[in-house]
Amino acid sequence: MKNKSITKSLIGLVSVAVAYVLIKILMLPQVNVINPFYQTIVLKMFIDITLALGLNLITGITGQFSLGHAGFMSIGAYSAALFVMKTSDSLLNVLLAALIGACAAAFIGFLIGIPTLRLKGDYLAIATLGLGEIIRIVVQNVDQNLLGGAAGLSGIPLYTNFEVVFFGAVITFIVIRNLLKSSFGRACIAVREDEIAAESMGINLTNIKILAFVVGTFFAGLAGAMYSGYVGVIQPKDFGFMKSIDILMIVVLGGLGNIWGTVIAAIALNVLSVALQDFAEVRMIIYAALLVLIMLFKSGESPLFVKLRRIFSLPKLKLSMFSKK
Amino acid sequence: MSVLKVRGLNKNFGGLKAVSDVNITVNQGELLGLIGPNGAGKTTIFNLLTGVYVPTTGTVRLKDVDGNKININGMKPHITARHGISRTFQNIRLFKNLSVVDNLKIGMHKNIRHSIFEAILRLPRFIRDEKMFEQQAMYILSLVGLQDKHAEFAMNLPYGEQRKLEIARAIATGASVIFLDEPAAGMNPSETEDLSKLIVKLKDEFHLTVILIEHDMKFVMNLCERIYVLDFGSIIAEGLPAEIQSNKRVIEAYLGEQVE
Amino acid sequence: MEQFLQQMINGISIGSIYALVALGYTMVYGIIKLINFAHGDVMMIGAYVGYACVALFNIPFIPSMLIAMVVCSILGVIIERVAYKPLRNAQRITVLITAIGVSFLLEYVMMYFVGATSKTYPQGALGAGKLSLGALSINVEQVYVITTTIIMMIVLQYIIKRTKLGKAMRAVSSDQDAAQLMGISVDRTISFTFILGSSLAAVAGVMLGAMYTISPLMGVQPGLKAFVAAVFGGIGSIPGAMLGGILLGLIETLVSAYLSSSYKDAVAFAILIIVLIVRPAGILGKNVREKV
Repeated sequence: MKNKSITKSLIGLVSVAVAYVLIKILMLPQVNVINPFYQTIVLKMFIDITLALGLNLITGITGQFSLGHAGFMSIGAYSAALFVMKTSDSLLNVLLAALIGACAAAFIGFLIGIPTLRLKGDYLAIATLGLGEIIRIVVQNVDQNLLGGAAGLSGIPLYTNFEVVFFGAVITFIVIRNLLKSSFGRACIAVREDEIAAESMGINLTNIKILAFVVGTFFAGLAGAMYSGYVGVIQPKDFGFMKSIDILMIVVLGGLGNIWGTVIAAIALNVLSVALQDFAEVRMIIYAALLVLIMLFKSGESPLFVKLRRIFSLPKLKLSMFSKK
Repeated sequence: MSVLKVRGLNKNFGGLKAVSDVNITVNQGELLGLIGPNGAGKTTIFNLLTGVYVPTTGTVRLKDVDGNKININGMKPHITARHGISRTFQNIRLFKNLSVVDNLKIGMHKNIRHSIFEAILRLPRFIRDEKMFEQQAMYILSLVGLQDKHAEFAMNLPYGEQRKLEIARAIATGASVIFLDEPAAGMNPSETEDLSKLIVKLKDEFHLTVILIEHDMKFVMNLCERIYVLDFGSIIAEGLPAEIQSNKRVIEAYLGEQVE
Repeated sequence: MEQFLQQMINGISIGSIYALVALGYTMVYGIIKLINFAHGDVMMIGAYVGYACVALFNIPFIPSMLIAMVVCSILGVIIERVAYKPLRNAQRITVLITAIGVSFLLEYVMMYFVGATSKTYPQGALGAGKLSLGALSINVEQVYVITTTIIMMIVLQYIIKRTKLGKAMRAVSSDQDAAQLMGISVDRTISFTFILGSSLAAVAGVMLGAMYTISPLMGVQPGLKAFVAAVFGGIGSIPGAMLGGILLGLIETLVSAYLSSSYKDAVAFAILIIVLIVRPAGILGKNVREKV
């Protein structure tokens, strides 16, 4: 067993290295497959992966529906941006800023999680939506000299390069994957599947939910920190309800609880948004239609969807989140 | 020697008295039956003793795994589980999208000795715990005859095996007192027969005290050493199976009052 | 004192609009346990239909409102039939995600056709001028809003308490299977619920549009607020939605008048979270427990 896990880790490391070198080569000016315009998309893609993996832990794996993920991203974005602006964008400071952003978001996630995670299902969804909005409004109003009010912060050093986002996303993936394949991850799934049974088996529901929420918001904060150094200008309205839905979209499209699915969906949606860059509304229409169609396809009960499912021979439902009551 | 002592247990839901003044004593290593007509409050008592519901009044004293006597009334289910109480559910509540062996490992989660950081970094203590969980889980599965299906999703098991898996999961917690809520429900006579043998085998193997609710009278009378009968939330009889079978009040409770 | 009364009237008039939209949320939740995220956007469609009638076709205000009600009712029924009905037995979270999808679909389809810029109803579409009541001066608009809301609520109460369909609604919401066994058509009753909710949303949309401006995303904030109002009053309870709407309108107006207008929206959400944690059943709702 030990040898098997070592081989697996080695394979993982090698594929990460190969992916890194490959993307780097494609980005070389001489090769120019990923030209500077596409490079910005690639950066955004890795930030999205980081964001969505965190939300997948909370919503997909642990079953706690959160609609306020962008709020935690904003906490990471603001704290990291402020730190770099007050110090410098040396490598050490950038790393520190990422850590500070992630920890700040996780801390707020912890404080907020304690009272709200007692709520269930759609009540929790709506409460986290409200919390996301509250965070946005507070950021906009609390200290306008420091945080810049509605205009936000500008002139943030552009410290986010390919290495930052690549390793940020890879670390996120490894942490979430290892967590998922551990006793803690199994406990998270148990909480999603059946709270009463989980509790009767000795699982402390509050602890597990808060654990998932803190880790998830930690990575939202990390993604926020990377985002600040990527765009250079951040405003409270960038982190509203719409952004939370964007992230949810990736998680749902990739399959709730499926971490590879999240990675693939983040890539696919970014490719889609490049293809439709001149038609913002069309892009949103496609997103929305996809959300509805995926749900209908996975759980719809009318003959059409039942037949479609049979054609694609999906096992009637893989994930409990989609299964019948 | 008693392992569980319930005194003056009451539970009201609004104006409804679901359980009233129940006294139960469970001896160490006993196989105890709790029977009664539908709606008598049997499952409510299970829920009260395992912590799902908080009693309105009354005390529940448990001799825990280490032999300490503690009051467990009002404790949450995950705390009572830590003190060595576990259970199955009337309407099977497995973790459907976890594998059979992972269902058992959930029961073991409370015994982990590694931290989350050790799990993320895959440090030795994590690997040791995982290895131990795997061995224990596979051993329990081999006892209930599910070792070949350890990698299946729980939801893909046939009904009877799901019932068995629930019992295996309860044992995996390391509990000393196990509550079985209608373990034979929906089984045919030969499956019920097998289940009886299995329960006795597991009880001896793990030195368990077993309390079970069941409607199959043949099953209860053959298996249980002692029986409590519940009607309208109160205990109306207690005794050996033979005594219960001839008890007038019990017959009345089940058949309705006799015409004089 | 006058200023306080003035604020109260402002609060009640915006609260009336919340209440009208909240009724749709609460009725749908009561009957199929779904937070119909698209409800605020149905209101937005109502506002645009009203605008088209008033500004482009010169139809008078009241008939325009009626047309908007009809269009939104049809839209509501279509949404239910296409998106929600196939998921009636699915997990609630699945339906909630679907509802979010429908909401975005309505917003961006609308934006595709009419553009993102906001439009205004013709001046004085909903009555102009002010009424003086002693030292108080009330906008005629506000009088119309409050009166319309009162009329709508009386009509709704009548429908729910006295008509056969209303009784069917109450029956389905308390026990779907039992209602079906009693010969009530569950599908028809659910459609009827969507008709009622959507037409009330249309009324709210047209009035809101006439008072402020309209845009494809105009339904988002009032929709969320109305949902807060429904939760506040006790989701599933019709009197609760009315009470919650008015109270939320009042609280919001008073907070922005006497504390800080920038925290107005935060207060609404704070109320939501506190209510959910302290008393999830809201002011007038009932608690339910899960069976183990």
